[in-house]
Order: sequence, then C-alpha cells, then structure tokens
Amino acid sequence: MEMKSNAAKGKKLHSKNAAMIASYGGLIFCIVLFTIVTPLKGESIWSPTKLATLMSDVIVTALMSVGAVFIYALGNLDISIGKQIGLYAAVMVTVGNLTGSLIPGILLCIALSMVIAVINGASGPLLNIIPIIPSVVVMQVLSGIITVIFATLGTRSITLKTIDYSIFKSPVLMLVVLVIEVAVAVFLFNYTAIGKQARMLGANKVSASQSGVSTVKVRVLCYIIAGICFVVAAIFQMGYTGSASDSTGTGFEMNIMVALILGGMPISGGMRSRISAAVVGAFTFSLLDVGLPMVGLPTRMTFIVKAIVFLVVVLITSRSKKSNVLPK
Amino acid sequence: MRVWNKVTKRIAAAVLVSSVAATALMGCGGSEAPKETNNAEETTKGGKILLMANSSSGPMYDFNLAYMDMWTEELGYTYEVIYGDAANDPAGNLNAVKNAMTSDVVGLITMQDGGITDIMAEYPELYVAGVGSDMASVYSEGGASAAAAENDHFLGTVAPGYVDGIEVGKMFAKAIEDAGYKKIAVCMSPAFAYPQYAIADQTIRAEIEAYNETAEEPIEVVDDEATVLMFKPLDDTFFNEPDHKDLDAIVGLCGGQMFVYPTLTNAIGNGTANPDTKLLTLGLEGADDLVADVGTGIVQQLYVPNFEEIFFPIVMIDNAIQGKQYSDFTKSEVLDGVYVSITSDEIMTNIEENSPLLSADMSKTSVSIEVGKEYLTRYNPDATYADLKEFMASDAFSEKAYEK
Amino acid sequence: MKRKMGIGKRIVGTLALPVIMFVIMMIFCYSNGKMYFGTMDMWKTLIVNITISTTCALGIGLQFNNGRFDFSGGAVMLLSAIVGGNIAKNMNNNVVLFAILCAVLCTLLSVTVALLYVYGRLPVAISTITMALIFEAITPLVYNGAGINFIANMEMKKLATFPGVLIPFLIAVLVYVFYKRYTLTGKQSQLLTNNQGAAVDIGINEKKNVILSYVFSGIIFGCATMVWTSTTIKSASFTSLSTVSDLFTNILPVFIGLALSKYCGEAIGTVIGAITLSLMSYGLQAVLSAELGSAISMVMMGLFIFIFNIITTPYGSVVTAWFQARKRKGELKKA
Repeated sequence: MEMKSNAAKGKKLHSKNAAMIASYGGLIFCIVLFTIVTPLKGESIWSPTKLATLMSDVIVTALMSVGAVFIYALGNLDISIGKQIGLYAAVMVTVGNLTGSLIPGILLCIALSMVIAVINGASGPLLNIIPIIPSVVVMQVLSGIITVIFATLGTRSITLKTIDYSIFKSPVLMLVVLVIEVAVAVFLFNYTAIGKQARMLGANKVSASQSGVSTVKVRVLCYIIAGICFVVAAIFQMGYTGSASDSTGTGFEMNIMVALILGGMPISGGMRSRISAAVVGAFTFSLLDVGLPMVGLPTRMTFIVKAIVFLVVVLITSRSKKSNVLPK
Repeated sequence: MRVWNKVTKRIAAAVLVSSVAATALMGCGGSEAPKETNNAEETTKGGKILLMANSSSGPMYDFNLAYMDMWTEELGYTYEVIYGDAANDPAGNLNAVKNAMTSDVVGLITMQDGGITDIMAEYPELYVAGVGSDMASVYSEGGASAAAAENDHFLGTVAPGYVDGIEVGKMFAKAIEDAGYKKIAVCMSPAFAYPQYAIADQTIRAEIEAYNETAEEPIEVVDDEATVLMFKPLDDTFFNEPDHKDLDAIVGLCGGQMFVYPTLTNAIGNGTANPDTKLLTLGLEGADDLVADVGTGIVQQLYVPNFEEIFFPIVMIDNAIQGKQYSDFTKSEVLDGVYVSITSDEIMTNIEENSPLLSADMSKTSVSIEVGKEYLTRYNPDATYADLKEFMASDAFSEKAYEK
Repeated sequence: MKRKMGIGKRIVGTLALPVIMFVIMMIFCYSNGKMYFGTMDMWKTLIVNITISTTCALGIGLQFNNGRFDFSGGAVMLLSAIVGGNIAKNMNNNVVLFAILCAVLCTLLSVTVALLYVYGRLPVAISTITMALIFEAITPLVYNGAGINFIANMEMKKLATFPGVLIPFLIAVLVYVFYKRYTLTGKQSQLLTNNQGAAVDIGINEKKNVILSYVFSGIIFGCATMVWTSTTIKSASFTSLSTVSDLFTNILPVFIGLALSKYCGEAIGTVIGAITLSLMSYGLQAVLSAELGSAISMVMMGLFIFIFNIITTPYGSVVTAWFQARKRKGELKKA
C-alpha cells in the first residue's frame, strides 16, 4: 500500500517535473544547440557582439512579459500592449524633444499607463462586460491616437534630437534593470497578497471573491504593475534607437503571448502562473531569433522551425491530464 | 525525487544565469578579419554583403537576387538577404541587421532608410549604400538620419526614379496631354513620406493649366488636391464621389498597381466606375495578369525604375572594401534613377523577352560582367565617379525595352 | 410563463441599430456635401466589406459562442488563399475550382486545429496559436513566398464584386444557421457551452462535437476567403501572428450579434453588426480627410463597441439595472 502511494507520489512529482523541465528544456535545448553549431558556421553565439545583440533583442520582450504575467495570472488577455508601447515611445520622444529631458515623458507615460490600467482592469467587472472587450477597445483607440499623432507631426517616425540615449544600448544596464524588475515582480507575485490573490482569481473567480478577494481592486493593481513594466519596456524600445514610429510596438502582444506560453505559463492563469515563465520564454524566443540565422537557416525557414519548437514545448508543458472533458 | 527536482531547477537556473551574466559582462572584442584571397595579380578582400530588401517576392526581388548571385560570385563575396521592417521603423531595420550581423559582414545594400544612422553607429566599419530609395531621412534638411550623409562609410544611393518631383510631374503631364485624356484625378502617397510626390502633383496641375490656356479642349483635374493614400489602398468611397465616376485616367504618384489598381478594378467590377478609366503610375508588380494588363488594359503608362540600378551600390561598396574608392568621389549623394516608360504592350513584351526583369535571366542583363568591370577600380584603376554617374543616367539600361 | 416576443418587437429590435446608424451617418455626410451616402453605388461598394466582415465574424463567432477563442482563423484564410488561389490560377483561372478549394482547404486546416485541440489536450487558445504559427510559417515556403495576387484577375474577382459576392455571403449565413438550428452538433454545442461537465455526463461526445464544429467554421472561413483573396494583394506572412490582428477587427460584429440574438438570432445579429460597423466606417471615411479618416474611424468604432457592450452585455447591464432600480424606486414611492 505504502509502495503504491509512493509510486503515485513519484508519478505526480515526475509529471510536475516534466512540465518544469520542458519549459526550461526549450531554453536549454536552444543554448546547447547554438553553442555547438554556431562556432562550426563561423561565429559563436556567445561572441561579445552576438551576446550584446541577444540582450538587446530580449530586453523589451522580457520586461513586457514579466509585467504581463500579472495579467495572464488573472486568466485575462491584453491585446492592447503593443499599442501601449507605441504610444509611450511616441510620448517620450515628443516630450523629450520639447523639454530636453526624458523624465517628464516617463512620468506622463506612467500616468497614462495607470489610466489604461484602470480602464482595462476595472471596466470588465464594474460594467459586467465581456473581459476581452476593454482590451480590444483600448487597442482600437490607441491605434487611432498614434496615427493621429504621427499624421499631425507629418512624419512616420520621430527621433530624440538633443538627449543622449547611448546609455540605453548598454547590455549591463539592460541586465541590471531586468534583474531588478524580475526581483520586484517575484516579490510582489509570490510574497504579497496581490500576487496570491491574482492567482486565486485566475484559478477560480467565484471562490476567490467569496473568500474576500476584491476582484476590482486586485485586477486594477495587477494592470497597474503590468503597466509600469510596459513603460520600462517602452523606455528601452525607444532608447535603443532614440526613436519612435507609427508602427512601434506592432505585434508585441503576440510576442508576449508566444514567450509566456514557451516559458510554460498557463494561458488561463491560476496557481501555476510564475514569473520565471516570462524570462525563460523571452530568452528562448530571442535565442531562436538570433541563433537560427547564424546556423545558416534562410530567413524563410526560421519561422517554421520556431513554430515546430513552439509545438514541441507546448505539447510537453501545457498538456492537460486526461479527463472526460476537454481543457478550456 | 524532491532532491532531484531541486537539483534540476538549480542546474537550469545556473545555465540561465551564467548565459545572461556572460552577455552583460563580456567586453567588446575584436572581430575576425574578412577573408582575403589572392588572385593572379594581387590580394583582394572578400566578406559578406547584406541586402536589406523592402519586399520578399516579386520581379524586382527575384531580379536583385539573381544579380547579386552573379556579381558576388565574380567579385568573391557572399551575400545574405535580410528583410527590413515593413513600415521602415528604425528599430525594426536595426534589429534585422543585428540579427544577421556576423564578423565577416563588410557591406550593407539597403532599400530603406529607417535607422541608417543607428546601424552605422552600431557598426562603424560597415560600408552602406542604398538602392531604390531616395534616402529622404538622410538627404533632407533635418532628416532623422542626416548624420549618415557626413559619414565616409555611407556611399550614397540611387533613387527609384527622379528625385526631383518637378521632372516626375512634367513626365506625367506630358503623358496625359499626349494620350488626350480630358478628365483626370491624382492620387499620391503622403507628402511627409514622399515630398517629391507633392511637388509632382503641383507640377502636373501647373503644366495642365498652362496647356489649357491654348488647348481647344481643356483637361480637367478633379479635386483641388490630390487624394492622399495613407500607406493603404485607395478608399472604396473614392468612386462613389460623383466627380470620380467618369474619369479618363488616374495618375498614381505611388505604387499604383498595389494602391490604386485594386480599388479601381473592384469599382469597375461593381459597376461604380467608368470601365474605360486608365491608370498612369509608378512601379511594377510581376503577377502575370498585371503584366498582361499593362498597355492593353487598365494600366496605360507605367514608369518602372531602372531595375539594374543595384549595380551602383555593388560598385561603390566593392571599391570601398578594396580600398580603391574613386579619386573624384568626395561626398555621398542621391542619384536620379532612370525610368523605363512602359507605354505599350510592345514595350512590355520587349521587357518580358529581352530583359532579365521578369525572368531573372542574367544572360539578358545590360550591365554584364564585362561592361561592369569598366567601373570597378579593382579592374580599371582609371575609372571615375563621374563616369559611373554618367553611366547610371544613360539609356544603357532601358535600350532593350525600346528595341524595335 | 414567459411571453413570446412579438414579431413587431423583434423587427424593431433587429433593425433599430443599423437604421439609427444609417440616419446619423446620412446627416453627417449630407452636412459635409457627401450626397452619395445611401445610394445604390454605396451599397454596391459596401456589400463586399459587409460580406468579408460578416463571413469572418460568423467563422470566429461560431467558436467564440462555444466558449472557444480561435486565433487561427486569419492564418487558415491566408494559407488557403495562397494555395487555393495558385492552384486555380494554374488551372486556367477557374473561379468555381477556386471557390471549392477555398472551402475544402479552410475546412481541412480548421479540422487540423481541432485535432490538435482534441488529441493534444492543449487549452484551446494554445492550440489555435500553435496552428496559427505553423500555418503562417508555411506561407513563405509555398510558391516561393510570392503570396497570391488576384487584383487584376477579373475572372477570380467575380466572387468579390457585386452581384457575385452575394453567393459566399448567403452560403456563410445559411451554413451558420443550419449548424446552429438544424444539426445535432449545433444543439449539443449549446449544452456543452452551458455546462461542459453535465453535457459530457449525459453522453455527448465532446471530441466529435468539436471536430464537427470546426468543419462548419472552416466552410464559413472558406466563404470569407473566396471574397477576401481578390480584394488586395495577399503576401506571405513574415511576422509571427501577423494574421491575428485582423481577427480582432473582425470580431466586433460578433459582440453586436450576441446582443441582438434575442431579437433575430446570432447569424442575422452578426450581419446587422457588420452592416452597422461598415456604415459607420464608410461615413467617417467619406467625410474625414485621408490622414485622419481611418484613425478617427478606429477610435469611434472602439468607443461605439464599448458603449454598446455596456448597454447590451449578456451578464446584466449596469445601465439597464440603474434604470430598473429607478423605476422600482418610483413605484415604491407611489405605493
């Protein structure tokens, strides 16, 4: 009896382990593959220039994804993230050119992110509307606003004129900011009520609200935390080239979704949500972006390879256990 | 089992952290020198050239790849096609270059000007030249990439046609007058992205006004201003305007086959536009139906930029890499591209049969290896930049189109 | 016993929204000198946009109303358009063949999505995202990444211009209605949506139901593809999940359809939603200048959907609750 119980426990731990290994496994597989193959093709992926490229490629996706974990943990999707990044970048450049400093622009973006967070987070439960609606509406509205801004400015892209933005190209700064953001996010997500309540809401909204979790307050706070992370990501997005265009941020919400799923984040949120999924997924995504051209794969082939890697990883990490109903 | 779980996590975390830390803590290192080859006479330098394309298919794309195949093999380079950002976003273009950059990359031929300064700042040893783009952000006053014009590694560009909007306007005005159209409309890409088209529009109107002073039947240009196409096809509402239902022709100061043609054909199919409305425009889409339509159907006049103008950046980059740039080359500039005017089915057929544009058959190219060597200083030390400019502006590129 | 809604109330409920939008846009256009609003030419122009919007919305809505958010619709349409279009072009521009290929390919690709969901035991969002990535990744590999270009092909455009466009439009609506009302699959899917566990417990084969529902949504997407392919040049996808953004634009009529379903059913409600939004978009673009027209149109459409959903939400509108509370208060005071 005891042997059977131990075997069952072992099986359960093993399956939990498999999902965890698979989410890290995708990253480890990429690291091992590119470490072995890229030097054979002429240049190692760990060369200084390529590492710097990797860091600059991953930083925006990683910063956004860490913030997005709070939203996804609630079981929500936010498809306005890309347009938010575009708006923040445009505002920072415009205000930066007007004032000669990035600080006012950053503060304004934080204020904007809070307004957007309240709309996205509170309008669903307060107004009883379908949860995806506020996100779709915000995406449409921001898209229109960005087009109007650039049409009024009479250009497709704007650049910082007098501010020195070279600091944003430093891989060291990128790493430091990422580590700080991850540390703060881990603390908030795992050791404070907000993170726990977010996961509770994602797991079972009814039980969570009946146990005293304030749906509106938790949602708004999660969206605010995510919004601040998006502003930080927008700083680096804008800062690398000192510019913003009418297409900045296009498709970023999809990159986040792909990165989080690659990292093993459950799309319906809940108790299995974790911050590490964001970092692991973002690095896996960027390693594929940077590494596949280095192994000599034509650009057209890189998409199918990425899709197949994605398929393999999700089949291992996201499969539900067998039951008589299909997963939602 | 629990210990194994912890150990696995720790190993994974260690790999992750060490790779991330290595990223940040590595300093800038040297890069491998590009390969050098010895030929019979002297050492020549090789390496890889990146071609940043603004499209991923079509006749120009296929032709450029075949042309690059031919010339890079001859000159001892390799090349790789990378795809610029669809909206010419500086960050997107920089990202495309960064992801493709390896230590043997020595040159970049680019069809988009977004982020040029950032690319050149990131890779100061890289030689950059443009093709099929007037590099407005580099050469216009206060342009976002104006610093590139002063960079000695930026070698200039050749535009997809006349840089000067006045010449474009005169070209179209003459075509309208010669064809006998009496009622026309003008559509164009936004002035902030293509200022030369705004000038072209004004020139067309001025030329037609001058023509009308002595003409028996004046030409009407509907609307006081051109219809602006915001990087998407012409609105469906265009042909519901009463004035637009019976147009003789539309002038498309844009890639008209992509941005005007679909709406026009939809409207003709729906019965809301004059089925005899013609299109005069720029650029060429290679689909069989569109090619067959030119000169016989809706598209009556098509101005295609010289498809062999990619020769210019190849020459300039090779001269620079070999350390033998033209002695009279002092500053980068934007050259006018030669238009091939396709005004009849015969010319379209000539292009199909005698030129490499739609077939990518390099045996039909005007700038063969023998012709091109005249302008490469590694073969002809007496070659000059003035000679190259004259050649790029000559009829050499279009004579096959007009062969009788 | 709940009284059945009268036919008059149904008609008013169904037509109120598009009629009000029509009147508002007519006043807006006429006051700005655009007197062609409301003419036959406008309707001939709009019918193509309405068809694309309706057929896409019906395809998305079929799964959405079953509790499944399908991200793969756009990728299914793109890959089918490229493969089917190139085959039909090489077979002497056979428009009938093209139509059949669109329906067949969309159905096959949709069923592939369903199979991954059903047998992969992945959450539906992840299944559909995975297949969207795979389908999009195939598009640069087939036919040398050239995509499909039918803009000059008047033969193929027969299904994308008036009156031929009415054929895929009607087929899509009829397939949707047939699925919802006259098939066992459609009725069972309603039970599964309401209570998945209970429905399975009473013997409904959920896997078979899901696969069959994707067959129907595939046919509807096929109708959308027939029209959508020849409106503009369709290029291969070189950016991950680039087709998903179109999906979120085409989902808007679904929400209107949900709200109007009590008057006219989801299918007609979705058509009404597509007509309403198309009228709004047309009117705004006709009046506003090119640079701002589509931008303001997007903002207005977003706000319209937001306000519309606040009033008509299926979860109990706070606006109607407020009015009802006021009415009760008034009645209590009288009493």
